[in-house]
Amino acid sequence: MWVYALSKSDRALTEQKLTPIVMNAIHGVLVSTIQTPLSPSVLTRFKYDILQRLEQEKIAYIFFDFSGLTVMDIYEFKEIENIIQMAKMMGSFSVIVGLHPGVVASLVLYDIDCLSLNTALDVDDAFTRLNIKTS
Amino acid sequence: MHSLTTQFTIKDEGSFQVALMSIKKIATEFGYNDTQVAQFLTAASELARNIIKYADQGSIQIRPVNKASQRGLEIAAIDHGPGIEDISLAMQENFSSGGSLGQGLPGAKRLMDEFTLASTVGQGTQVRVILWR
Repeated sequence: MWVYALSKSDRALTEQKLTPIVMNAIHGVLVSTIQTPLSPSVLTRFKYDILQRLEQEKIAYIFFDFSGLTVMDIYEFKEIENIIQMAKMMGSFSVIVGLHPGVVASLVLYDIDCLSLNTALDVDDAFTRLNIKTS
Repeated sequence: MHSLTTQFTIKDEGSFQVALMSIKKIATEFGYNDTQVAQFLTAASELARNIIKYADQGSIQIRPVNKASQRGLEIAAIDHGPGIEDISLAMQENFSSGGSLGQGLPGAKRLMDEFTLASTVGQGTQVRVILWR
C-alpha cells in the first residue's frame, strides 16, 4: 500500500531495477551488505526494499553492513539515517556495522550526532552484543 | 606523485562515481593515510554533488600544492551555474536554497584544512579546498 506514496519517478525506478544491495535474513536479522556507491537511485530502491521486507517478514533487527564502503558523504549518511528511522517505526532495531575508520573520522568531523546510532565493529560483534544465538 | 592538474567533468551520477574512483587513486598515491583519503574523498563527493544539484554540470580539478614545508592536494570545484547570492548564508549549517540538507559546503570546510569560495551570481561558483598531508 505504501508504495503509492512514492513519487512517479520513484515508482518507475522500483519497478525497473533490482537492488544492488544484498539483503539476507538470518536468525530474525536482516543483514544488508552495502558494497556499492549510494547514489540517489540506489538509496531509493534500498529504502523500498527494506520497507517491503519489514512489511512481509518478521524481522526484529536490521544490520547495515558498511564494511565495503570507504567513503560516505553527508547526503548518504542522512538518507541511511532516514531509513533507520523508518525501520524503527516498523518495529525493527537497526545496527550499523563495519564502518571504515576514515568514514568514522569524517562523520565526527562533520559534527554529526552519532551517539544515538547503534553501532558494532562487524556483523559477528553485532550478533554478540544483541545476544543473538547463531548456532 | 601527480605533478599536473587532473580534471574531471561532473555532469551526472555516473561521471561523479568515476571521478571519485580516480580521485581515490590520486589521493592514495599522494601519500595520504586511510583517514585522510576518506576525508579528501568525502569533501570531493560533497563538492561534486553540489555541482550536479545546483549547476547541472561542472568540473573537479585535483592538483598538488605546496606552502612552506607543507604539501597537499587541492580540489577545485568549478561550475558555471547560477552562483551563490549570499555566501555567508550558504556557509551556515543547515541552510540550503536547493531543498537539500544544507551541510555540503560547511561539511567540506570542516573536513579540509583550507577552504575558499568565490561566486558571482549568473556566472558560477569556484570552491577550492586543500588537505595538507
